[in-house]
Amino acid sequence: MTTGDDNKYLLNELVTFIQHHLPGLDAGAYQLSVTQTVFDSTTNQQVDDDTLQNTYTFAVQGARFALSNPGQTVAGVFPADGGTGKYSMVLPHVLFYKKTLPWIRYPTLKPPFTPPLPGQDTDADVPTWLAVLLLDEDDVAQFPGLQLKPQQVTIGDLFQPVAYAASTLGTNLSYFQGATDTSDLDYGEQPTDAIQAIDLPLQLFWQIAPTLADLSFLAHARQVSLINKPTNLKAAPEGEPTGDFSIVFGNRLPQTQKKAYAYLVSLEAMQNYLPTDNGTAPSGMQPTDPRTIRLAVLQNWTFFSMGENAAFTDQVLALNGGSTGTNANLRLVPTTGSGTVVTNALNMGYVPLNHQLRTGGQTVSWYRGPLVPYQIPAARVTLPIASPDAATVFDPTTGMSDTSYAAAWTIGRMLALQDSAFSTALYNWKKTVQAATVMAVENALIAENFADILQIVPSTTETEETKMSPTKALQIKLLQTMMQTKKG
Amino acid sequence: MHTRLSRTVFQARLTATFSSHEAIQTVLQDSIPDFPDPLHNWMARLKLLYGVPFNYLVPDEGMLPPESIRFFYVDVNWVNALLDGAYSIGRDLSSAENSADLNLDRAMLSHIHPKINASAAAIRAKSLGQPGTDPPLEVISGFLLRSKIISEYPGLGVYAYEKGQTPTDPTPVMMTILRLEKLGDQSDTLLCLFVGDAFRVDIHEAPEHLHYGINDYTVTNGTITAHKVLQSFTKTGDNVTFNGPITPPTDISSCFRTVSPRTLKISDLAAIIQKANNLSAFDSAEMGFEMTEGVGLVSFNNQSA
Repeated sequence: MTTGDDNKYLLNELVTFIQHHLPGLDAGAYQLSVTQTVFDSTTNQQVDDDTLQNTYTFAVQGARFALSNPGQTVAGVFPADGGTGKYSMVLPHVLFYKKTLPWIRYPTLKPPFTPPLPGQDTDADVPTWLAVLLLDEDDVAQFPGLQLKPQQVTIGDLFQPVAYAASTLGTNLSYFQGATDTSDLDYGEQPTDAIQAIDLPLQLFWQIAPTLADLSFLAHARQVSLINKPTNLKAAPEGEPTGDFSIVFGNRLPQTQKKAYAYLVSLEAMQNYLPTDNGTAPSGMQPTDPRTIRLAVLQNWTFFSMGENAAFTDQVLALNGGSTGTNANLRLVPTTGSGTVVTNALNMGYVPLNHQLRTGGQTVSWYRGPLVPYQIPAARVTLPIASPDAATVFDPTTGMSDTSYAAAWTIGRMLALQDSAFSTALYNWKKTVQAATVMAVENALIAENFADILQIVPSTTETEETKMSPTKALQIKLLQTMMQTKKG
Repeated sequence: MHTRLSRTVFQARLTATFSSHEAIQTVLQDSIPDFPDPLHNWMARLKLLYGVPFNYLVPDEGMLPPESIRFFYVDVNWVNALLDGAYSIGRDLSSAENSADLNLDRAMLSHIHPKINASAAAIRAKSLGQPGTDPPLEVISGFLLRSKIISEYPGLGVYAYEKGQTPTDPTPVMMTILRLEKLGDQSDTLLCLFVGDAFRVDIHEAPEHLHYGINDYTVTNGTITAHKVLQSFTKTGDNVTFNGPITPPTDISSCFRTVSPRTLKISDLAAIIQKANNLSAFDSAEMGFEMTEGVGLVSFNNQSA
């Protein structure tokens, strides 16, 4: 919650951490009913016996078991999918473009806070319904039968067979424990919708899942200034200098030298199954419960943690073969033993290219783009030119030309011709400039030759701003003169 | 009055005017038709090399091999030739030096170039919702970065400083960035242009890709030893002032579950952090802040200047 003043100081910072961004309306179906009673203004009696009423139902849809558009929602995962690096000290996280996503649902059975008044916020700890779980092959060894790859199931498979006959859940646990039908589904959800899910043995789930108290700390939001970053329209709409992101991070460190599997799962209304602080079964459940728990996987990725450094700084320092000092300019490096001309030309950023001449011959010419290794003082070529040949530099000692500026002129002309809107508009503007020049010469000529006539200029027909052009003044004066002669 | 004004006088005047660009400028003076916005915006984009095919910028792949960064100055002559090529639409391309079209174009140069410069500087500012400045665009420098870093760290940030300026100044002055973007959705090349002569270029990880983690973690004979360097800070309202890292690194060995040695007990960790910083209130924002591992920053300095 920032005011306009806060925006100004935000832009000098890199990032602001925010506890949560609560959505205005939770996901679900709503019914809005408006009632109006009409009273007579004089007698103050109700006019109509029936009260005027209208009901309007609408639904707020939010991600529940799958992300409908991962490309638009997930800004990134860390460590990167398929990444390799020194990640043994890192807690994996998921970054979202949507700043309210981790708080649109709750792991508790009832909303865990009193909704604040409209326009205000609350400082209460709001647990998030998303969690990042981390598994690896050692867990498979400990719990044989664990599948690390998420399975393709349907939403109906999250129900028990008594509620949805075609479910494959059996006696295991999932979100709709105890439901007798599929009425708990949100508006727009069908039991046949495809999602991904993972079945975890309950003991493993209790070992690695966060507790309810943990879930209040595992998600937060960040506001980031976009001033010094590459243009990216997903982070913020055009014209916005700050981007809002929300983050959910995990609670388990990866193992070294083992492939790690990370899953972004939903823990909606799972309050009763979340473990205690030390990873043991919650009260009301047997520690030796042999069942599995089926969790919907919204996003999953893998990475490998090993000893080598692949951190950002190391990668940037490894650019240019690790020695940026020797070759940091945009040029071809001349091989040893090249002649002076070639060495100098290459060091200046020139590149020899095949040149097909207009007359049909072929030669080799030097070319250099606009990006050069040293500062060139301006005005080496007089513009405007009538033809690219005027900008070609010919060196009689080597017999080679420097076609850089000629090529620039030609490509500029071609780009302008390609865009017919631009070229037509430019041509029209040039015509108006030409017409204005002719007009100006004409007016100047008239002003010089008929200066005495133009002393008398009618004052009723002009305002402060408009200056009467000499032509018009001359016309009016001629008319006046003619009328005078007629009378006289 | 018998003043005769024959057409020949007028024609002679016209020819004289159109044969010299100074004469055109004098005659037009204040009545130059406005150079329309769409036109100077288009040419401003061209000035920043939008739309120029990449092989015109880097003619040989050996100049920009994979995993390399190359710094450059922009040759204003080349860019001016490019703009003149675009502006040459409608120009009569005869070889006469003093043709009317050439003189008209020469006369208009001083009128259009300031507008093009102002638009060029405003392109990036407008897309960020910032008020545009109007810096002089005589010297433009920049760099090309070709690496898989571009795809791995899409939000990386760039700061550039002129000679004599550093980020540790009391009010650091960062150079205006004219253009900073990938040359395409799937491209691995990043082009950056600054106003002025960049002496020091800092490239850093995206702040939103800060990650969470601890500093060390070892298990010997079943006992865990783990530490985290916590930053101490004081909060006044919404402002945070850093007081430097807490040394020695805080021991968090007790924050791991006995049944699952790599899983953190987040609530216990939160309590330790709150105690170490003497905070009265502790929520997910402070947790996210403290658990953050620093972002990497690499500085490139100009050695030759």
